Amino acid sequence: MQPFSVFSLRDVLLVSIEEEISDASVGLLLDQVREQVCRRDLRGVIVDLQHLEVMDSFLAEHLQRLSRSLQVLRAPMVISGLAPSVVMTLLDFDILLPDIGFALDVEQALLRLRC
Amino acid sequence: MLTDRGGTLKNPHHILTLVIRRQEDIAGIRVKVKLLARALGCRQIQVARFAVASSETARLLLTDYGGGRMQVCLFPVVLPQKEMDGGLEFFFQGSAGCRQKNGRPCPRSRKMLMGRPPFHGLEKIFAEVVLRGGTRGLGISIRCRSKPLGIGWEKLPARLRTIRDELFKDAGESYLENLRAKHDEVLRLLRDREEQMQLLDRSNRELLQLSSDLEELARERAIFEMSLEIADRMRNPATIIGGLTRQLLKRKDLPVTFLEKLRQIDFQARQMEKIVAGFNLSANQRRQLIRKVDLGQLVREILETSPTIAARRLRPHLEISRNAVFIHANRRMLKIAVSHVLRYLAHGVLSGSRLRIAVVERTGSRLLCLSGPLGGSGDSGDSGRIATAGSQKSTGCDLQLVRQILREHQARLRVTTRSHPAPTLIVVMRFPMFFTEKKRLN
Repeated sequence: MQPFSVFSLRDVLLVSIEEEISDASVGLLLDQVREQVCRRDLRGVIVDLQHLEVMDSFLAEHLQRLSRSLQVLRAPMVISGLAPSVVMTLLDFDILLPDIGFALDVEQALLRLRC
Repeated sequence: MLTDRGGTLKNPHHILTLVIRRQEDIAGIRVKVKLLARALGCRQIQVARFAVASSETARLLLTDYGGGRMQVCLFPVVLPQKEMDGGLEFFFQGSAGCRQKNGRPCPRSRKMLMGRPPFHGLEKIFAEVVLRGGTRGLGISIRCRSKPLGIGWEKLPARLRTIRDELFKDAGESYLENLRAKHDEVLRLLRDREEQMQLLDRSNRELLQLSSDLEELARERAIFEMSLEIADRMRNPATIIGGLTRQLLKRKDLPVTFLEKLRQIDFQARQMEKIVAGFNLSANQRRQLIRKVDLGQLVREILETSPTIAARRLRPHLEISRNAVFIHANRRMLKIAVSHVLRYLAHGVLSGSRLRIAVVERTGSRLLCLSGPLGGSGDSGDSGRIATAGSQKSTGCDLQLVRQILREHQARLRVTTRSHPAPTLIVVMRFPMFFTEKKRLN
């Protein structure tokens, strides 16, 4: 079973990642998202990380890459629901996510994409 | 189980060992660390920090050091109020030496390595981070100790069973894998120990041989010096007594009894002259031990039998011409001197490094140059530890003795260090060519 789910909220793609995701699943997730964005005319992608407990440099780097490729496809990406512990750990390990939009929850992320 | 009768854990307590062989293992490590931290009652931020630390370090080992293993232990901490608390210790060990990956070269210094991720993060979140090796192609080990977790060391034995159940509840296979990893580890340690014992044995044999060689040399030298000393002292009196006696014997006017006594003195004086001649002969024979020696061949022979080179995993890089490079030397003595210099150098350079050995022909001299990256026996990353003159390494043979042997060959020993482009230990033995005396030497 995949540790992520991909939903369609009309013109926005909502990707929800579970508490733990392996390196192989990260690759699979990225492929699926890119494929859907290419197939459909989407306003943007929301990656919901509210269940995620740990984000390491591998996942951060791949989210960064996904965001860049989505920018080229004119579908901006917003990360929502990052837990304070995850944020603090990212800062501890100097793992940065430049050029990515953030929102506190999915609702805010939707507002951000539709504005 | 490290508990006393009261059930209190006294020593660091091993919780689990996990192998890092494939990329999938990283997620497994992250999950186990999260489970363990949660079972120990850590806060969410601590859980995330430990999980990211282990994930990042495991990834470093996998990409740069050919994988490895991670060991998690609980260790006791005595708090200022004399209470015992526990902390988590993560020990990571790489399987192989550092290798170049994706154009990223192996770090040349500890500072360079510490500047790379995830060390900055590890130093931020752990109370203690101990790094060993990891530079210049060496293997790596990282020990990280957390601050006290507030778990109460005395209560841990009762909780260990629950913690273990929690850790391995997801799959029975994980527990078996853990056991398998431990079993492999024990086997590896046994193999390492066996190899070390063999090396120790070989080194002991070599030391014994060197020691007996030195004793033999010292004995020979003492006899030789004594012979010459006696010969020098006896030569003049024997010649004078013999000469005067022979002059007196030519006189015809002496009484017969007196002549008999003179003949006896003459006979004894001749005996003494023979002894002096014998001493001179033995001194000459000893001088004849100095013969033409192919320096390159001698070095190759020493390298073949040197256990130190193997023990330190050094890679000799020979720059020796195929043509013989002759010097005049006492082969046995020179072999001892070169062996000791090589051993000295082997202990002074980084383990596993390349050792350059060159025989150079110069006008009027022949050079034996040995060099390698400066490190020292412990390889803790501290450079410049080795003394560069007259220091005694494990052979028991001082470099001064090597200098003495070389002085007898009119050769010189020079030990220097160079800091640019990299710290290097250089040993040069210079043999002059004006030493040859063709009439006496073969």
